[in-house]
Amino acid sequence: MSAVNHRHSLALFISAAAALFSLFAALSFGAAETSLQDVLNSFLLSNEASFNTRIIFELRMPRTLLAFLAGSGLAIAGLILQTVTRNPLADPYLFGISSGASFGVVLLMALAGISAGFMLSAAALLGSLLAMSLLILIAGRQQSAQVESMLLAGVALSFLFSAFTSLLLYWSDPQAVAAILFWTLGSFSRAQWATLWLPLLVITLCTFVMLSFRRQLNAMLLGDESAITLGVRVQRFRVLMLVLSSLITAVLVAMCGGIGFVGLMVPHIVRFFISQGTIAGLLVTSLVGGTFMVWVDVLSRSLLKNQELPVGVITAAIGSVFFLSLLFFRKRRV
Amino acid sequence: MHTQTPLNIPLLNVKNVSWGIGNKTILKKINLKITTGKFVGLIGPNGAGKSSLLRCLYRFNKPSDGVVEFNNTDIWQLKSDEYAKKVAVVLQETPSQFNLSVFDVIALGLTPHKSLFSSVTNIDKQKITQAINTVGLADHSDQSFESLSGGEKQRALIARAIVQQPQLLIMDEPTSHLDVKYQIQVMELAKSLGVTVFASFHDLNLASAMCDELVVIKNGEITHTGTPSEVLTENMLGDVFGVCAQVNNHPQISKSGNSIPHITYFYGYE
Repeated sequence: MSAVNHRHSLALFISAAAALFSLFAALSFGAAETSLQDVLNSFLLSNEASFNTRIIFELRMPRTLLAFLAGSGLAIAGLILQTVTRNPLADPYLFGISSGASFGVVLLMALAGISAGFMLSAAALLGSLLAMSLLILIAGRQQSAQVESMLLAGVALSFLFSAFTSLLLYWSDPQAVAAILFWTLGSFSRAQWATLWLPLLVITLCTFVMLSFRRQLNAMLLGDESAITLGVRVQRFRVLMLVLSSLITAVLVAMCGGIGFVGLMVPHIVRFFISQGTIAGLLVTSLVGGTFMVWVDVLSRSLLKNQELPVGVITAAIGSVFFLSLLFFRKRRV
Repeated sequence: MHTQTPLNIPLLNVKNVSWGIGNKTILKKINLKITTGKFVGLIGPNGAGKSSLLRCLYRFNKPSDGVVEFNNTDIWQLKSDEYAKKVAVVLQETPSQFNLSVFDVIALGLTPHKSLFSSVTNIDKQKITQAINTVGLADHSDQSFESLSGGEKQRALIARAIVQQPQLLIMDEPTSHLDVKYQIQVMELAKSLGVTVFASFHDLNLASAMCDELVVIKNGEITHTGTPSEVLTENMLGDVFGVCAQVNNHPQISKSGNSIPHITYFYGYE
C-alpha cells in the first residue's frame, strides 16, 4: 500500500518538476538567439524592456503556455474518453469534433473569404460544437449499447463532416486550400495573452470536475453493470463526460487547429507506469501531456531554420512510432 | 449501523415481476421473498432467466411489470447511491483492460458512501485494508487487478463488496470459471460475511452445501422453493434440468445440523 503511494507521489513530483522546467526552458528556443540566462534575466530584472525580454514575454510565453494547456487538455480528454467508453483507441478526434471544426473553418473561408483571425477560431468552435451536439443527440438517447452507438456515431459524423469539407475544398481556389491545410495541421503561432484565458478556464474547470468524479470514472472501468451496482448513473455520467471532453477539444481545436495522437497516446504511456485510478494518475497524465506538447512546439520552431513545422506533423509522426513500438513490446511482454 | 429488519418482514420482496426484451418475455410474474440473514441460492438451466432476475434486483433491468421492494420500499424510488449502500453485487466476469491496482478496485466499494469532493480518510483506508486481509489478498494489493487469477479476482470483488457494507449481497454465478478449490473458497468467504446473500449457482452440489434455501427457475418462472433437501429431488432434477440423477446424503452435515443432499448424475443419454 505505502509502496504504491510512494510511487504515485514520486511520479507526480517528477512530472510536475519536468513540466515546470520545460515551461521555463522552452522560452529560450526560437528564431531569435536567446539563452537560458536571458530567460532568467527577463524574469528577475522585469523592468528591463530589452528586445529579448519582449520576445520572451509577448511571443514565446503565451505560445508555450498554450502548448502546455493544449497538451494537458487533450491528454486528460483522451483519458476520460478511453475510460468511459472502455476503448483503448478512443481519443478526442475519434468523435468527429475536429472534423466539425475543420468544416466550420472551411465554410467560413469559402463563404466569406476570411482566412485568418478571431473569426476563424469562432467558426471552428461553432463547427465542433455542432458535431458535439449531433453526437450527444444520437448517443445520449440510447439506453442500451450506448458505447457502441457513441463510437460508431462519432466515426460516421467524422466522415460526414470530412465529406462536406472536401466538397467545399474542391470548389475553393488553391490559396484557400493551402491555408486550410496549414490550419488543420495545427500550430501554436496564433497564441496571444488576450485569448489565453478561454482554454485556461475551460481546461481547469473540466479537469476539476473530472477529478471530483474520479471514483465514478474508475467504477466505469469494470463495466456498466458493475458501475450501476456501485450507484453510478451510467448513461447520464457518460454523456456528461463526453460533453466535458468535447468542450476541451472544441476550444483547443479552435485555437490551435488539429493536433492528433496526444489524447490517444499520453494516457497509454502514463498507464505503463502508474495506476490511473488515483488523483495522482489523472494529474500526471495532464502534466505529461502538457510537457510533451511544449517540447513538440519547441521542435516545430527549431527543427528547420526560419520555418515552422506544423505541430500536427510532429505529434502524428512521434505518435505512430510510439504505437508501433507499443504493439511490438506488448507482444514481447505477454 | 444497520437497522435490523424484523425477521418476519422480508429484506427483499419481489412481487409479480415480469421483464422481457422487445416482445419476448423472459421473466413471467416472479414472486420471491428473501429473509434477512439467509443464504439463498438461485438455480436453473441455462437461459432460464437467472441473470435476468438478478439484474432486476440490482436495477440493471427495470421490470416491465410488478415491483421489487427492499425493506418495504420500491427499489426504483430510491436514489441510485442510496440503494448501492444497501446492496452489493459480485458479477460473473469483470472486464478490465486498464491497469487499476487491486487496492483501487477494492476502494471502489466506497463510491456510494463518498460525496464528490471527499478524499479517502484513514478510517476508509483501514476498512479497505481490513477487507483485503479478510479475503487474503494482502500480498497482492499493489498488483494490477488484471494480473490476478480468476479466483483472486472474485475474492477482490468480494472485498469490494465488504467495503460497500451492504445488507444484501447479490452474486451472479461468481464461481463459474473457477477450479473446485476456489469455488468452495469464494462461496465460504461470502458465507462468512454474515450478510444476507442471494446467489445464482451453476454447481448444484455446491448450492446444496452452501445455501439455507434454494429457488428454482425454469423458463422465467419459479418452480420450486425451499430448503436444499426439499428442493433437490430426483423428480425436480428430471423435470427442470432434464437429467437422470440419484440424490443421497452427503457424508458431512451442515453447521446447523441438517443433512446435505448430494446429487450423483447418471450418464448415457444417447
